[in-house]
Amino acid sequence: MELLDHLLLGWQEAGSWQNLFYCFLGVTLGNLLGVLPGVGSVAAVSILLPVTYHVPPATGLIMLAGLYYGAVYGAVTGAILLNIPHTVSAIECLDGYPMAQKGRAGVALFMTTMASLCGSFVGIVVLALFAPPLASVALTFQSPEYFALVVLGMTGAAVLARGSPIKSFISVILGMLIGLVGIDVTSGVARFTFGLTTLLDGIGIGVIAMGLFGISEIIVNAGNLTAPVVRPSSITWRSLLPSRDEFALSWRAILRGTSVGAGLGLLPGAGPVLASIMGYAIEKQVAREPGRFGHGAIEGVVAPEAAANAACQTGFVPTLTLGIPADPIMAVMLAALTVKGISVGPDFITSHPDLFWGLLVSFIIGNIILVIWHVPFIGLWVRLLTIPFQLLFPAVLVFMCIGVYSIRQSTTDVLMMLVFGGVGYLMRLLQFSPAPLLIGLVLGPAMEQHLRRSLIVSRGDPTIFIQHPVSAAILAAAGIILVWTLYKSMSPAQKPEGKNTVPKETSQSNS
Amino acid sequence: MSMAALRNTDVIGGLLTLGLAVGVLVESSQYGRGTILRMGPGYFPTLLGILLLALGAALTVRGLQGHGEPIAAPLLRPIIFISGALGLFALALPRFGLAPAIGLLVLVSAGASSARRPMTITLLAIGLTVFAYVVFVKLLSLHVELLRW
Repeated sequence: MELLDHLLLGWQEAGSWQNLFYCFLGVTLGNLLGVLPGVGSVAAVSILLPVTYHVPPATGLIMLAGLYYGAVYGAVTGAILLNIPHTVSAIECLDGYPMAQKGRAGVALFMTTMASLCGSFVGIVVLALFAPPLASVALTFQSPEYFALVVLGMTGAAVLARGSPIKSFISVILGMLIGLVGIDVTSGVARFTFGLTTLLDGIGIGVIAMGLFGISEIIVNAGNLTAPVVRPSSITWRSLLPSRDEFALSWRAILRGTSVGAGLGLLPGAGPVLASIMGYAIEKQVAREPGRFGHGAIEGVVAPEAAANAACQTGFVPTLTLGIPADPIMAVMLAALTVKGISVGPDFITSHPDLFWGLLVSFIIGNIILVIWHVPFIGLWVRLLTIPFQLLFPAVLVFMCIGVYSIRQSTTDVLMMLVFGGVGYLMRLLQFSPAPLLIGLVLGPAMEQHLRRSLIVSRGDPTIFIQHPVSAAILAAAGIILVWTLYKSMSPAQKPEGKNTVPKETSQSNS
Repeated sequence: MSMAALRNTDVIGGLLTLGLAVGVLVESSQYGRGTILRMGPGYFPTLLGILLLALGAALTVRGLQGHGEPIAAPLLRPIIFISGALGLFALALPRFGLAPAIGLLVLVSAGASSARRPMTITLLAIGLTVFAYVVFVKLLSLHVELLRW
């Protein structure tokens, strides 16, 4: 059994005391930041980015990934109890909060944990089965194929983000331009530095992500004064157990959500947010009484949660085999690996099997830790929700500022984070989604390089992208997605799905 | 152009994009465009600038046709207090050390919320200073003084 050997190898890596500790730390912090309103997981991952510079690559990756899926587990708690729409869980507010108002908060919390567990495990299996073969196919790729993949990833990121696709494309290009800041590796020319020496090395992704997502998030939420509807003491052991009906309705929904999420996660640019929205939409389609949705239908809580978690795990397939991040958090993780001198591409799994399989095994461990946190210790997290936000955000600001400062010991970077906070807030006001910007930032340099190389190989003939069959097929896929989206956004009757049903967002971290 | 059009998110976003596109094109024209066979440092940014120009124009036109929503009023209070807090942190950290920088950051940023809890905020500032000192300075060996005159 080859797979068994691989899992054993992974266990050797993930099972070390240090890695177990960082896995625990990652999922726990992720869960904490998911539960607490107004931080957002992109900012959370960026805050901890500097920590990864002090530990081996596997350890850092395990921690950041734990933070990522931990936040998905945690976010639903706030959605159900406080109606806080963290982006990953925004859709769960629709039925989760009404369930809490009806006194079924415990059931909703328990069943979403089960849904998360199911979604994650199926996602992990898909990752283990699909990533290695996909990587070996991708090994034959050359620059034109890569260029096409980058185009597809960016198109996906722009099209799948919430809001106007034109704005999302502008967001992607803005990210690519920011990625150009600094010295061009090929020519040695300093681009877009405007004579500032701090810009010669480019702008760190942590600084940008924390500003765009973290600072602007705090500006939006600082004035919020929310109070929980559920008293922590009301979440007892007994209240967690679903009734026979609730269980019967849930398990099918969980399976449907899982398969939707696992499939969508494989697409570059999709990510858990889209998966949860699709999971909800499908439940509403197949339900016998769609009228129950919005008034506490348990399927509307568990299916999106299963889908989000499944997509979270399968999102690692394009990220770790092609180097195309599935969402902004993956983009930050790829950047963390690049700092460590590890380039992620098709040869990642074969040249760093310990990293890949170690990460995979750490997902299993992390999910078990999260279930333990959410079933016996759920009361603890519920209690945390009673911390007022006005005490929380100064603390978050402290961590962001010191985190940014510690990367290069530079207070200019702190001010740079503030600048990007302003950019992020302006983008929110103008309803531009910031997530595609991060994807553009990470993929921009790769795009320029592969474009340049392809054109050198073809002696300046741009039809090389169509002459290579694989790159032609990928570009065609990107083109179809593009035309379809434009067609949809032009037809007047089509309002974007769920625009009026999703509760007003306070947190757009992932959209 | 009517006032309503000027407050439309698509129009504002589109015009800003157009401005940015022009800036990008002007700036990247100084880098040497090169040829398609040997792309110079200005080649790719010029491509991006042209794309941006097209997208900005499309967005502006859509906005003028009545698409897009009116822009929300900016939340001035948190913007002012949080910018001030970060600015003071950046100024204070190298001159006065970690403790005063964190103190200023927490106290000033707390003003972004309308809730008044001076005692709790002070305790929070002290707690965070201790925590940051232990984690960042002791455990992660960040070179920064706790207090400096």
